[in-house]
Amino acid sequence: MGYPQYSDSAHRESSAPTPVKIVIAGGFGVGKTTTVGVISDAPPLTTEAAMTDVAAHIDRTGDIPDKTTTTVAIDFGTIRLDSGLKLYLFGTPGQDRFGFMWHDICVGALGALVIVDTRRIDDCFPAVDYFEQSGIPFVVAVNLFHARLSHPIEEVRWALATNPDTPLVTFDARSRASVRDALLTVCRHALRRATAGV
Amino acid sequence: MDGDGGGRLRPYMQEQPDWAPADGYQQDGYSGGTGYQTSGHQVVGQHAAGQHAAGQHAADYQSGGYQNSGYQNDGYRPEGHQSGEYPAGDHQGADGYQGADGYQGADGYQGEAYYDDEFDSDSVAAGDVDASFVRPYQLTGGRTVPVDPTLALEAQVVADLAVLSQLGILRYEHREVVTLAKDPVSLAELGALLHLHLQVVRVLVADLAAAGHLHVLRPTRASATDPAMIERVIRGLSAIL
Repeated sequence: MGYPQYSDSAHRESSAPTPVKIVIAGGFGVGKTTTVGVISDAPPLTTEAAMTDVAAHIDRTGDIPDKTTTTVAIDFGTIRLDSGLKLYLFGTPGQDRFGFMWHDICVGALGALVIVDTRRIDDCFPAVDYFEQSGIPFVVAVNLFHARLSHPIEEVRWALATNPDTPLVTFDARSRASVRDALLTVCRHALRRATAGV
Repeated sequence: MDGDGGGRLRPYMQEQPDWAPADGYQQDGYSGGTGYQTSGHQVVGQHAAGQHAAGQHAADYQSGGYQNSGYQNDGYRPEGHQSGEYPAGDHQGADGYQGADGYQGADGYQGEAYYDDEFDSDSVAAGDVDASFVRPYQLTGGRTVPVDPTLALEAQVVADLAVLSQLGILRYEHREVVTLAKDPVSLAELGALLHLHLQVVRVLVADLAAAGHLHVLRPTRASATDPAMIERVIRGLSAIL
């Protein structure tokens, strides 16, 4: 799809930063929005993507009184890395029945951080499955709720059954430095994959 | 018919909640305009009994008989209606719209909204708060399919200099997009700042781009796997804090 391009306004276009994208995935209530918020330049924004009408009828929100809308909200934050580079952090919708949206969010992503709460480890399976299949480099990050790990990290790896070269880290979603390090792990993993020519 | 009808029908609704909507509908002779008036209570009875075919709703609404047949005057309303779940704005505004040009017929949009409200009574309160009075299709000139549905969330758009000096030529929502795009901004940010659905943003952006008012920079897929780019991201992230 071509858009009209005008040479006289080339300077306008060149003023736009190059966007790079890291996806923050994981189950519902696992700390995705906290993660995005703690490191973003500004408080996270929310953009709405419409659910299809079909999905709207399936979405019986009566079971969760506080969860009432039939739209999917995508939380995202931005970090200006340098004058010409802007990092976008997109949170995936928590419920796996919104999986149809993931392609929209994940296409072209540098990598992904899959956040795990070890008390509900199966919540992250859809995300792990998705990134394994799509080939997007991902890191599994165990969010240390209350600063403790409820299961040994090797048990977590065993439960996830991820590829041995998939990094598994622990972090604290409330700590900016910790989130930064987790994102750096994603980048380094992506770099290894990129330089290895995978 | 008024008082009696109401008294007779309520227990009836309770006794036979599973009354088949299609049959009852035809027996009532609904197809005729006047038939609706006389048997109107029964139609509503079905309604309240929880038989919700979206098409049926659309038909009810389209006929316009809903408001004319005096339910609101004689106080005969199904429970859901009485509990005030229908703020005047949403319900009647939509009706008015329908009456005006029959948009309703096209896709049963209204019937659907009604369906949601009745079923998810929990959701109604919040839905009303969130609901915009302006329907998405009104912003997009009726189109629901973006010209370019694949435009990435993080794609940057920037307004053309020429149009920034003559914003008056643009429709209101186009003007908002262009104003925000004075400096480069992403699709996702436009959606968040304008409180518009992403697909609506895609339609608006595509229209503006086609008119030359907006420049769209598609992110190149390759940058995500470009080692130099990734190293640049690492450098930038490492500088944080």
